[in-house]
Amino acid sequence: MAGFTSQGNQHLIRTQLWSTQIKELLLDELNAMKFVRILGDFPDGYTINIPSIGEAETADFNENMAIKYNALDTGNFQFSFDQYKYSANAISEKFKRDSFYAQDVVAAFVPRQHRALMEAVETRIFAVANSGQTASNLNTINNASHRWVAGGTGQSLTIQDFAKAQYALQKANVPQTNLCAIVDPSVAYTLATQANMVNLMSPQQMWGDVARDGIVTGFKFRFNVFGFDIYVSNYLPGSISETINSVAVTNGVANYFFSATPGDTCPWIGAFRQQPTVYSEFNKDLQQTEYLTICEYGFKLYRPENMVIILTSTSAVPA
Amino acid sequence: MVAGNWMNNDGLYIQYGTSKAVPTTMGDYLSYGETREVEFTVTFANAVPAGQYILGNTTMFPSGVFIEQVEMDVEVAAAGGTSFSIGTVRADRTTTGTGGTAAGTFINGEVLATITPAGKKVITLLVRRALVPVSVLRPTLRMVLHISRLRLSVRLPVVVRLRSVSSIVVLVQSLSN
Repeated sequence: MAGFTSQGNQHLIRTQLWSTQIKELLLDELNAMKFVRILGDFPDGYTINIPSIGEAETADFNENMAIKYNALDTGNFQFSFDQYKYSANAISEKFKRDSFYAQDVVAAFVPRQHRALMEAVETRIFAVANSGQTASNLNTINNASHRWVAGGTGQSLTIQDFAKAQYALQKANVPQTNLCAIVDPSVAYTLATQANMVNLMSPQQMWGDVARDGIVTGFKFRFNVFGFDIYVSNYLPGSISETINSVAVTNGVANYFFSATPGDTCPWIGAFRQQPTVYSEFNKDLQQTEYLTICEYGFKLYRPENMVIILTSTSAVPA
Repeated sequence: MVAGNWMNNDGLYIQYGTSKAVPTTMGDYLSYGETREVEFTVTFANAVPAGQYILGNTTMFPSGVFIEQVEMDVEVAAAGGTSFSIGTVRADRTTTGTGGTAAGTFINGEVLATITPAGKKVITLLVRRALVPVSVLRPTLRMVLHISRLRLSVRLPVVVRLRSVSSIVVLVQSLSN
């Protein structure tokens, strides 16, 4: 065997190569923060109070009668910071010397920590909306339900649920502008497979576009339903088992419908006492470099009247 | 629009649509000196038998006032019922029975025979002046059965500084004149 062959010259072949590029994770977009009214006047203290004033009432007047005077009803919304979270990593000096990828690891610390905290923020924002309502209850406001189980087969979302959500918001005097729906991907699947869409022979242009191009363009649906811009999120509260108005859902997910009109109308309120802040130092005793990102914040459902939650079953998507 | 209402998470009572247009029948008369006079018209037909409803949404009683005297002017003879009580409820519209917020703060278990016929005036001088110990109260009516209508005024010698009056609110809802 005079020539070089792979079988006979294993010492000259790098059987395992390691890429200089590290494979990145696929990350979803975080969007809940844009639906939150961020408080700017809460620099210190534990609790901020936001008072509210009720409406005046009329009375019937007759000649010669004396006027009777009244006050106005008042309310008070209280908000506190309740989340103090950090993300921390360390890398030893020996690992930094030994590993070809040490610099990549160090470079990933801060963005990964920030991402972890913001994912916690995203989850918290959506969680407080669900916990801000009463579970297993219609949460009726002005005779309109603000929480129910979706009306489709197997607790799937229907177009009628969109109309009912809009009705609930109208009854609660919520502005019908910037209507948003944040739904679970399983709900997007349900909508995309509506029988009257996939079987469309002579579709309207909007549905025809969907049938041709798909229902999603990037993060956002290409159209809205009953005025709702539809967003998809994996951070909606799940594993919800409730019975509302005699309709049960098991391992359901909460889908949100609200008006994202900027300012005081936003359904959520929130504030950061400490924005994500990075600290790092070398620990000589442990011979490692430590990186820490920490922040303090809070979120709360500010306007329950501007929040409709429809529970759906994730089993709508076949395995 | 179907009228509705809602106690929001701020503790503010929200009314919608036509329920906003129901005129109040309650309020404070202009008065000088230490005594205040609050008057409200009670239409028993609006009450739920054996239930409780709130007479006023924008008239409230501050802490520290004494209820000195209650007068009832019967405009329409009572009929068809047994007895009634008129008292106070906390601003949450549900809590009664604690610290002077009982249903019978003003009138307790009054039988119908007392407010018959029309035109009768009933003055109740409280044996022990009732002190209102909590800050925000609303007047309520607790009914045994439907009866008729009366006009009731409550004298309130205010023994606290008047700044407390700012927390007085009485709402009148579901009442007709």
